[in-house]
Amino acid sequence: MEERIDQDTIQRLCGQAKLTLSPEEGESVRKEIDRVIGYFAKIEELDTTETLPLFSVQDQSNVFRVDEAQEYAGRTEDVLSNAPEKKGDFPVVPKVVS
Amino acid sequence: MQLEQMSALELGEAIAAGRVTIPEVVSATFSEIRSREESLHCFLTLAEQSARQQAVRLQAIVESENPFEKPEEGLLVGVPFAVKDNLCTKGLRTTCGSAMLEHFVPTYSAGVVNLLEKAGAVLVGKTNMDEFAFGSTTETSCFGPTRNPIDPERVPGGSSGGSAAAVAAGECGFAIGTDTGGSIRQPAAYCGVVGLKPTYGLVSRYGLIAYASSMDQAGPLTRDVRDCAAVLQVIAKKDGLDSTSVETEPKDYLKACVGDVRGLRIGLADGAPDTKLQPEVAGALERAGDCLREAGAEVERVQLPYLEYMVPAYYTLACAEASSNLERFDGVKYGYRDKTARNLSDLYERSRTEAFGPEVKRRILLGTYVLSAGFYDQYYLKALKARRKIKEAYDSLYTQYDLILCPTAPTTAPKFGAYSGDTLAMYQSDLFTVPANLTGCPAISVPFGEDADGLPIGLQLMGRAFEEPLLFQGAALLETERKGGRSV
Repeated sequence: MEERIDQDTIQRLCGQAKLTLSPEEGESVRKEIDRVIGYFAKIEELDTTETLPLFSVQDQSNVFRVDEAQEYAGRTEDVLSNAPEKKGDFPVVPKVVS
Repeated sequence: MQLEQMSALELGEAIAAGRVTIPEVVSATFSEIRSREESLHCFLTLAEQSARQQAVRLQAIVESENPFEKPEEGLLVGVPFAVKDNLCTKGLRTTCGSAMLEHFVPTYSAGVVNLLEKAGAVLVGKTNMDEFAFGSTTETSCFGPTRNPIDPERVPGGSSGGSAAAVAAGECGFAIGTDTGGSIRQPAAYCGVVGLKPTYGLVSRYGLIAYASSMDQAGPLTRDVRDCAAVLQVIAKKDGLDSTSVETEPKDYLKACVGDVRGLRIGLADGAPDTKLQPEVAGALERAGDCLREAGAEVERVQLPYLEYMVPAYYTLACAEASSNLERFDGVKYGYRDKTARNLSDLYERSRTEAFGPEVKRRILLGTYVLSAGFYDQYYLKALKARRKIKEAYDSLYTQYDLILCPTAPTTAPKFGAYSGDTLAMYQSDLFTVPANLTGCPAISVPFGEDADGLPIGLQLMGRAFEEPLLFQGAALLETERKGGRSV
């Protein structure tokens, strides 16, 4: 069967998804993804010319809440305790401006 | 009877009648967990201290007054339960089976957890699962797999494998799992317990760490059908914090568990012509059809529409949603962080690369591909259109039938490693479970007989949206036949 996914595609997808694959991993992942995408392509057989996409099984439109500020019941320090690195009330990231 | 063999409702009743105290029940549960965990590994985190404290507090309430206005609201008081580790529990580690969240401690609890605790059930711990619920065996958990209590050489199914195994092994009274493409029903079938995926919107997704948001639902895994109904009674509630949760007419699910199927129209489906069913599964399906017919249902053979397109459409959509949902794991505000990154982009990339397992990466890349420019229309949009066709075909099927009876999975529980290197074979085994997720309809798996190796067979009943009572009616009948004098 014709291959749909080449190594360049895998590298592009990795860049978009912020993932790195080693060259060996890259090839085995490419093969598997190519096989699965080939299988996904089965739905191309379905005639959907008159069909609209179905994003949600529910008929409801957007659900809004009243735009009112509410007290947060949790504690800031509990939220921040999950941050891998923090300073005061903020998580820290590597320098973004030089 | 031993406490660990009792159903959730039997336990609740024994507690209410004063035959056993809640601290005794909780102690017995932790002894059972201690004796079986080394071989089974159902749990990732235990909440022993808080469970024991809760038991004492609840016992005092039970003895001093009756805090529940209606007796049916107190059915689960003191009953120990376990929760899949992708549902947030305040102050209790929630990992999703991933190194990414190995040390994550939520600051709030999921809607379902809050409702169950309010109903007096006692949380004993968090159960093992495939990493981010991506898998059908628990083998993708970064903490190692769970073993099937019926045969430890076999997988418990997945992704809610820890929850199903914990219920089957008597390590809790009932458990909560989540189901995006069969993750409650398939492990229920493999472990010989009951598992329900409720109608999309019936149960809150607040605090459920998202996989595919348009299909995720939390639901019960229980020893029997009545327990399943009792748990659903508690968790089926509109939640203002989940905008897809729906206000519905209150229903009495327990009352539906009478096994009266007279006059119900049931379609019996054994798959597409090329579906390979294990002979014992096919046999059980036929016998279940006979049981229902003898009990007064009209049973007819039916072809499930678009069956061969079901799995490709499902995985296209599930991977697309997953790739988007998992963007949030970037190593900044919570979760794993690489310590060597020199800039922000590097931090994202290294943290994700180091913490995500192979199946997670695979699904993110698949999802990124079907959503990317040039392929969006061909795959993602096409799958959404296929979803509408599938939904319309099922809506039409449900005008002819009240319930659809089919296998939950084509086989009983496979051995470990059965799918290694064959991702596609694993995906294809979800054939019978994904229709309920694509259409949003409810579906229940009930144990019905065993194969030649003594492994449980699960059969599935699907029905119209919000008609869980009909599912319970049919499931209760099949359960009577299984438990009753007749050998299936």
